[in-house]
Amino acid sequence: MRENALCWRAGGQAGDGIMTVGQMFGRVCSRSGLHVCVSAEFPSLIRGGHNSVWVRVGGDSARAPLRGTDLLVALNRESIDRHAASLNPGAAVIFDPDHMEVRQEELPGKLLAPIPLESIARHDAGDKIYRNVVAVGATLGLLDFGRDTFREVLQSLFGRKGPEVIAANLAAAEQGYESGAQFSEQYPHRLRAQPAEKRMLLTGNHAIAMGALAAGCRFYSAYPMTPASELLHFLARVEREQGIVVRQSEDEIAALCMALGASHAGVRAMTGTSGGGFALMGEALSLAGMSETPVVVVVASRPGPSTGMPTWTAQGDLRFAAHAGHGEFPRFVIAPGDVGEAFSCTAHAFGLAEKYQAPAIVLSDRFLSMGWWSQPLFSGEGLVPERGKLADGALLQEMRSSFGRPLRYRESEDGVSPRWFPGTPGGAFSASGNEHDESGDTCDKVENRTRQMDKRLRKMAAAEKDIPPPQLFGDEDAELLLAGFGSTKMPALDALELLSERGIPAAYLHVSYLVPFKAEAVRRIISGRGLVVVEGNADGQLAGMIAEHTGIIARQRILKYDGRPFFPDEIAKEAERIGRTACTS
Amino acid sequence: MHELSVEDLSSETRPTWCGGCGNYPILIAVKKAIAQLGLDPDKVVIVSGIGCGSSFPHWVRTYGFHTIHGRPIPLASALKMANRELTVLVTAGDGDTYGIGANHFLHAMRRNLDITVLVQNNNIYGLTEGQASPTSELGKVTKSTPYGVVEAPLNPLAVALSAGATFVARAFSGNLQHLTEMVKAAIQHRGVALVDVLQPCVTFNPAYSYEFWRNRTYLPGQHDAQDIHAALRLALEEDRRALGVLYQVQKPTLLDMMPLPKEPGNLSRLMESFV
Repeated sequence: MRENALCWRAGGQAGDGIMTVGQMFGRVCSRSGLHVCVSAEFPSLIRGGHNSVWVRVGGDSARAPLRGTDLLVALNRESIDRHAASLNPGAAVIFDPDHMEVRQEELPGKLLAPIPLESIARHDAGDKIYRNVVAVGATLGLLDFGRDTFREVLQSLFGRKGPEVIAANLAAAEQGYESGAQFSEQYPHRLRAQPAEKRMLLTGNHAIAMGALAAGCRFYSAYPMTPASELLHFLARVEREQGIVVRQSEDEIAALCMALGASHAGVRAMTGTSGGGFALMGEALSLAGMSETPVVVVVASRPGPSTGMPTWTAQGDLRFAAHAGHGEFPRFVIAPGDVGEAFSCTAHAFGLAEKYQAPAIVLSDRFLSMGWWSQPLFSGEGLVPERGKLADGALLQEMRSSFGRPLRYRESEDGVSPRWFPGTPGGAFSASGNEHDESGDTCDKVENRTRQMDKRLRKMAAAEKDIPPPQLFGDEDAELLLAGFGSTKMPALDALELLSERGIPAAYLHVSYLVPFKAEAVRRIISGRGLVVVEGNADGQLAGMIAEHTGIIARQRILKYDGRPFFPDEIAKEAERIGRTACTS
Repeated sequence: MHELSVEDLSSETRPTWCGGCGNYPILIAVKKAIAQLGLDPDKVVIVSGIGCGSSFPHWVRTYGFHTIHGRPIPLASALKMANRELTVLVTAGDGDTYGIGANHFLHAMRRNLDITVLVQNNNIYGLTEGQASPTSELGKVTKSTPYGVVEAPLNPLAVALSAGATFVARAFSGNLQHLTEMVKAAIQHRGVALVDVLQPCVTFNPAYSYEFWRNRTYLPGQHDAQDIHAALRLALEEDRRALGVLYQVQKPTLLDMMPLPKEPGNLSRLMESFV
């Protein structure tokens, strides 16, 4: 009997509501105190094509999807053909015998659970649309788990739709459960509720949006683009209750320009997009740098170049985020590693952007932005950042040019000048994308240019002291050191556990704060170890940054750019091979 | 408090435009409009793009933002959304507004946000020294069109009208008094206001001189500015250009449809909905 370690997978046609099935099951597990990771695979289509959703459930952790499947819910025959090879020993398959034929010889040693999902839905709930609820019920019945919790989840999901809808859902759930329970004795997996603090089930995009709200973001403008669109949808949905203005702009250029306009007026502002949209934002990002306007830009990557694979994942935009925009100007690039960091890093991005009056880029990817994880409630207390240097009336009077102009871009030790907002009495000035003097007037004189460039770029040195050091996980003294950024943290931490089970000591260096780069801290950690970078791109972009800042070249690289996130076992296996080779060579 | 004069609104730095540039009257008209309307210059923001005329905000003692080519409209729009007490003016050229920024122009017209878009339309790219603009006429020889322009010129007023603008006016920088009245009317209009200002570029488009426009512009006697078909007829005239408010109607503005955001809501409750 295996307890609280399950990889569940459901497959069906696009339009079958596969994601909802995954979320319902995930919520039941999450509410039962279990750790959950939900990840979906789907093509860029509304109808047709094959969709599947993974739910990994664990007692101690569930960070990244695993390749094996312990329980497959096949809503179409294609699901069996596609996913049969992933079935683990002892796995079960729930399918609708009225819609497909599955012979035991095809799946030797697997438990077949033919359950007439659609007919139950029609008969007991009155409509075939409840098929998915029946399927989740059957899953739970098979696992002898979560019957009451599922009722609660359905109540909270559909309570608003009235008693009839609820009754139908509950009937579907109940009959599904009974049907699944018939096979329960033959199935070796069990889930058991365990005591735990209250948990949400949410995506990286939700966490980013909540981080922004916690930091006092009051303006969000964006143009739709997968995988960042959910930020727009979610913030638009909560716009009125959360007191934020959300605008869908005519394009990404406008999206960032709008965020800059709102920020210039004194409102914390954010935009979000993916690589293609971010490409359009380059010039405005540079304007943020020159005009010293704080702004947060979320870039949720997907595989490029060009349109690439819109619904898949990649970490190919690190260098792009680090260098986007013409000219040289200070910026922050922060790549959160999980939903917890997605929340805290986004909130922090606002603080950094405001304090240093510079753009802060939150670099996510499809895997983090659109995957769902169980997560204790965030503490939003005290996260609204300080506004940084603001000029009050007295300071505004003091900071004047010989002509009496207020000095918006006044020289200062850390490069940050006090700012104020339009409407402030006696403060009229023009912000500018042109090189300017301290007052903001266009000026291309030699000394002024160098002084203003130095002033702006000095902010980075000050900011470096303000960002947290990279994190080291696992066996801190291990010779074998993996290193990664962003969402790679999740499969990498799982890989450490697998390596540890195999008796291989290893550590993982996670770099969330990439620009400015904590060169000394990284150098200290990696010096004298067997460094293996793990990145979801083809270039080894983090390896490049490490080399640039520390002079240490990571020759061992585990790179993946097929659109899929890393599976923990592939990192572990490759790390083990590299470790062995390094020792014998 | 003494009444604001044009001098009070002048900055200590002087414009660097060519002598006779059509921008000078526009600069004066804007200052006069602000003074005559009694606006608090600390509550006015002038947002410009890139072009000869876009140094504009540096030469007026109001708040300003000298942005990048084609993008003043979205930046100005959000400024207004973020602080509704501000009077927001965009000053940008024909290349900026009708060329590189045409997408923003189109959407600003349908968005009906309470901002004024003042276009310094000289039918040429001046700052880059004389290339064809979206309003250069067919056959015009410029540095970038040595064999003449072969693309039909854009009719910005007709475009604005069909895009849903609620205030569309045309002025001529050779008629300061009328221009000032147009700027004032545009600022006072509740909703988006377009003022297309015919403006000579004495250096790179000398054919379109003050005299040229004086002979080709007129003030229509009878015109119902609430009649969009009448407005379109005037906008589509080819041989001469009607000056004045071609169209003005009252419609709910974007801000009328966007309630003032409340204080930040309860994040804990939002998180609970994900449990």
